[in-house]
Amino acid sequence: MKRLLALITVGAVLAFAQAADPGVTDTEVLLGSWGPQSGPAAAWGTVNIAIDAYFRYLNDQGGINGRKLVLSSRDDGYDPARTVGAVRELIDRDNVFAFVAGVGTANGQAAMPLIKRAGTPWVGPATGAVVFTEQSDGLIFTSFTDYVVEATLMTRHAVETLGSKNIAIFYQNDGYGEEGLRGLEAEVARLRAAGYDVTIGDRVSYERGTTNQGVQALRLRGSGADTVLMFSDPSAAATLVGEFQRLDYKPQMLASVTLLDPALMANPAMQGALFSVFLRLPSVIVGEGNGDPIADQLYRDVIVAYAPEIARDPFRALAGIAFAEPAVLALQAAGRDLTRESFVAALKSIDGYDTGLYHSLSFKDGYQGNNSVMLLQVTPQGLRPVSDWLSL
Amino acid sequence: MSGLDQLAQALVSGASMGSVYALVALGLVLLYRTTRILNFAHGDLGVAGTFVAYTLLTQLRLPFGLAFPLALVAAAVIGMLVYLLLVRPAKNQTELGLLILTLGLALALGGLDALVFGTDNKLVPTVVADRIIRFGGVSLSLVSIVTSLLGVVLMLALWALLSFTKLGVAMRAVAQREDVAEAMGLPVRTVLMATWAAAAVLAAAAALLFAPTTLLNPNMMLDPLSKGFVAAVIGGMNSLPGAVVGAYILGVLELLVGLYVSLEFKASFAFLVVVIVLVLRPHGLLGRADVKRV
Repeated sequence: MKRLLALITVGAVLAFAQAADPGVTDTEVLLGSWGPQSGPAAAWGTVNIAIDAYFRYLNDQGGINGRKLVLSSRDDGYDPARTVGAVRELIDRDNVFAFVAGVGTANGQAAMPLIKRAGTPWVGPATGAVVFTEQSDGLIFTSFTDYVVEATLMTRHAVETLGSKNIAIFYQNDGYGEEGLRGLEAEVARLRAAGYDVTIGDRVSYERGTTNQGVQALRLRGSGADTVLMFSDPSAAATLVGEFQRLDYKPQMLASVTLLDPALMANPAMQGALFSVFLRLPSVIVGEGNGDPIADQLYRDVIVAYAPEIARDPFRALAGIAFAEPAVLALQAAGRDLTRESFVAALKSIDGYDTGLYHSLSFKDGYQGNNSVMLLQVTPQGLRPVSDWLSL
Repeated sequence: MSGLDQLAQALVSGASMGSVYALVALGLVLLYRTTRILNFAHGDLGVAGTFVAYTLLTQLRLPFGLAFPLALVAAAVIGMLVYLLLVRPAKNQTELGLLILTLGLALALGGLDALVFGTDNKLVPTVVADRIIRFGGVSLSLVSIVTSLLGVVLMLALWALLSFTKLGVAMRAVAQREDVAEAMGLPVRTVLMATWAAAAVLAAAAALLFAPTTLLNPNMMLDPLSKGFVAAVIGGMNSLPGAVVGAYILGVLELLVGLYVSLEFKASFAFLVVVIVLVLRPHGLLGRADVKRV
């Protein structure tokens, strides 16, 4: 009889354990993430430090629906092979409820099959590659305005507002750069059909890791382009603008958000260039009085208060909070009775949320929640906003 | 812009990149012909020197004219330490063992740079304030002229060191026959240490001249190092003039291929040149066959 009772008890406990999704207890929700704390992209490690700070900030205000948010984050050194190992551990050993952020396109692509096989929701990949929304399978929700949309909006602004007639693109010959090219080509075709006199002067690529952009600069100048879109890494951009200076070639430059690197912006040759951003920025970046109040509040109350060590890297710090924001919203909306199903349903119900770091966040019509960018210009005083929010 | 102007501009741009490749290649060849070590840590030695310069320029606000020589001195010291602490204790290693040792050193130096200076990009000030100078349809920047000139000065200094100083003659003697040089009473260890120091100085000079044209980070010299290797192989691994010739040929050809053939092909073109040179002239353009005397 005792054995029977024990069996029934064990059975009941097991049944209960199976009913609840992994990573959720009465008091906690465990979320997983990865990012480089070492290796070539270690600066992006700021993202995960910021998310951890954001969770501690929320926990000090009582958590979400009575549960504390716990982040389990792994250092993958920006190496996709290590990302796979990290994600496997987070799923099998830590039993995370969902993933948030996760830095790197190649890293995310390596992790994606594992995450999908485990049925784990993944919110806010820290990359603008379209592959994650295109292959979401109802599990991946992105909020980083993708590079195709970014290039589309940059091109539209250049033609409609700046009067550009001849646009060229300098892009990294990989998925990231090619998405920029895709956006440019589609938008120029649309604008021409709408009667605008605009052409693509040249499509100039470089191989990742190469450092001599002399030919690229010559080709761009030779194309006579009045505007150059840049989808490269900061080092390649720095080399290119150095060559531009040498050639005395001064096109209007429009740079992807991935180029928002303090060292690049400090380069005198970048004066006047426009950068796109997909989230609200605080005064510490865009100058006193120009900052967005929401970004200012989060920068002060989360970053400065909980992670002062990353306060000198405000853009990546706020981006970290932004990547986690949709997950937090959905955890709130899903209520106390939290399952992966209710979490995903809550994500899908986010519609036009505009009181966070995004201009407007919606997953009602798809898995790409944010389709807006704002343009900032490099001025002698620093970065200054020069456009309203541009949206598709 | 006319086709001729564009060609002239490509030649000028190619030559200024060639100066950086030449300094890298010279350091590699200098070390290889004296010690038979292919130094994969060459780029990282250069980056370490550049970080020293960056610290002097931005933290201590020293002028470039002072920071540059001080960084070269620091690089020389690092080069000597590498010889004393790593290479000398491993002197009985095979050539392969020493090659692996330099690979390990490259990883360690890269990690150390990241630890001490961080992996974020850094903007290195230029040698002089930039100005554009025009010759007909070709425009040159003052920075690239000064950079190229500094490169040439360093190459001439190396040539003078090897040709007219006792140390230089001793270096060449050790390069030809280490055992005989030792038997003749030459201080071989000091000579080898000086060779490591000189190679590290060349590496740091290349990195220092290159850094202001891009952004400084621990991986900055990966591409110039591989191109320096290519230049050294084109010129002949044991010929210093060959390294310089190979570097300028590579710098210019790379740009011409990018301009007239294909941008995608530009990155891999250098390695095609190596294959062609090795098939037609196995010892490079100016190199000599390594004859093993028994």
